[in-house]
Amino acid sequence: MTLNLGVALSGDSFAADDWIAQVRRADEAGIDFVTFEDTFGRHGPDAVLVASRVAPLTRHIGLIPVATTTHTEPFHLSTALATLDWVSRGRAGWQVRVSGDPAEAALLGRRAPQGQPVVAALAHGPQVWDHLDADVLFVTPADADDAARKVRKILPEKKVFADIRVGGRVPTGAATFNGTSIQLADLIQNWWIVAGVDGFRLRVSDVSDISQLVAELRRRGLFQPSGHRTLRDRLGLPVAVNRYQEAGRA
Amino acid sequence: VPKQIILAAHFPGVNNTTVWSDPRAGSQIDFDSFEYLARTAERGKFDFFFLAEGLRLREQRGLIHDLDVVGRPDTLTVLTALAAVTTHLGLAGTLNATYHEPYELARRLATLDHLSGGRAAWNVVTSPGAFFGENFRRGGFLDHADRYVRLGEFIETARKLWDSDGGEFAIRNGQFDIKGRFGVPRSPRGHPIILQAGDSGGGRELAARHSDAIFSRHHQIDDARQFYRDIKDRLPAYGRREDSLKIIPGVSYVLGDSDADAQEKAHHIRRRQVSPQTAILLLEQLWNTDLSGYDAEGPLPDIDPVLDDDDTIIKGRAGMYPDRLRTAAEWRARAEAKNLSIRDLIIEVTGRQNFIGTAARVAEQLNEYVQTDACDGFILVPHLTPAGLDDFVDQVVPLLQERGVFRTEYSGTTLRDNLGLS
Repeated sequence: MTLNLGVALSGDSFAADDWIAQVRRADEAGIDFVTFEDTFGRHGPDAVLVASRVAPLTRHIGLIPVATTTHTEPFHLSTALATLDWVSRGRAGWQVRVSGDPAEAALLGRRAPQGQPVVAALAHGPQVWDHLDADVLFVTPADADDAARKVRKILPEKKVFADIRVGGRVPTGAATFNGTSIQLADLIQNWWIVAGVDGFRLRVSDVSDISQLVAELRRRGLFQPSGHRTLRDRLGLPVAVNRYQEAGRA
Repeated sequence: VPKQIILAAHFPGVNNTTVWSDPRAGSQIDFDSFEYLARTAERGKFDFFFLAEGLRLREQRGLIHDLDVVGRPDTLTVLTALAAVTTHLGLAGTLNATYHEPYELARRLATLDHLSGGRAAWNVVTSPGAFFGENFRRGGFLDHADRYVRLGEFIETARKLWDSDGGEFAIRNGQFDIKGRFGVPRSPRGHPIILQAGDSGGGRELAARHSDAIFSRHHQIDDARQFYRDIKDRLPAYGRREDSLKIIPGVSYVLGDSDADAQEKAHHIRRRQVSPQTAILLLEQLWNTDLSGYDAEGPLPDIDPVLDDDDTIIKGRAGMYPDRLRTAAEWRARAEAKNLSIRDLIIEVTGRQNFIGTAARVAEQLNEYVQTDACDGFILVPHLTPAGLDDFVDQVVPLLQERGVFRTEYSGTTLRDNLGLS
């Protein structure tokens, strides 16, 4: 057994010889691997290609570039890293990085991602709603008045979904509804308009069970499929702000 | 001084023209294969090495096309590694403008250009349609009609990023709306070389406007001369000189001890390129329907092709037959007149080698093409990986050098130097 040693290279040189000299020195010293620093928008060369450039000129050392996944195509990135493994004859690694900086999203243009995944949480019990760090909360009102009460307890920027179990076959903590699709549509319309619920999560054993309900809601003009591409856009949530952004820039 | 011939080495690709059943065939993915061909090309003083891009395994009859080679590498990763084992050879590759984004691709291309000392070249293509799109975030977002808009704006955007020289940029056009700081200074010769293959009117115009070279498909000498004239005549409108855009068709060749020997070898290679299974698959690409019940050594089908170009039997290959019924009628007439089986016919109508003969004859023909303005040089597509250009470098290159139409030493270090481009 031996301990393993790695070296982090964080230069921004565009001269191949600089990189070759560094990595060869580490290779000759028996270092196990080097990592190549990179961020999506930095001044400096692409780290995967730097690793490719030194690969044929080194023999033993592992080559671990940073590659950012947020804006890159998974197909291209996975192909590039697999190819680095070929050109280095099995010495490639990958240090994963995500990009939360809106300035990096601007480099790619108008198709900015939604910032962060939407966070959804159950709020079935009597919690202090406002402290839940979620975008979407699932609640289980007993009736329209209870639904309105629960909505009032929750910060307005969060989205409140009523959990409803349709039919008796799904064991959940959600309120159970038994009745026709028309009656369920009436309930949904009432809770949406009167109680201020933002949406509904229907708990079913088979999605085809709600086809009549969806048709009825569409007929009433209450529901229509969204053309938005991100979930945040569909739900009317703002793009997430990176909580570290201000601290990082200070 | 006679025109100097441009020569490039195409790494054998995914099509059936690459013969894998030959005992000399090496790996399609091992770095040794790329290194071998690149070193061979540099030994022959070639201008550049060329690598195509694979965005998805092709499918036929709804299944993976299992006669295709599987396992294609990332273009820029291979080219950058080849910069480590070569010193003068240009490093060119196809990168799709539909499924890349300008900031990232311009950054990676500029990185290669720096790390190779000015030897990078980019063959710009677009792929509309949903089939490739399924492998990417945006899906098949690009309409066929918009492909040249995307291509032109992508090239313009990349050039602006390179010219920003590591500074701030803000670019807005129909396809892109980007801003920030481009983190790569200008490379040794400014921009990577840009190649393009577009052949329609729109594609030719874009090439005349933006490209340094065209990867052309015009092989027959008269047709090639017409294409050459057409392209060069478009250049003055953009304030460009004739010699600022090079026309380089992709070609294949077969050498023999005598012309008859070369013809025999060429026939043998074609039979290996078109196995019975390959013959049926290629016939299906015209007929657009399952022909697996037909015997490749038997006659052509008497049914007509299926005319549904929205649902083709082959997925991932550009449309080759604008008029299926007419082509099918021509093939039937040819097969009947010469009593050809399906396989014999496919051998005749696909993949014929462009230059066949002794090294002296091939050298003479190549030179005639260039001196009579059918082209400015050739991208040679060997049928074997990785040693398929050995005979050309050993036998044909010295003859071209003797004629004074091909370099005996590199005169500069960048690809622009090789191509004689400013």
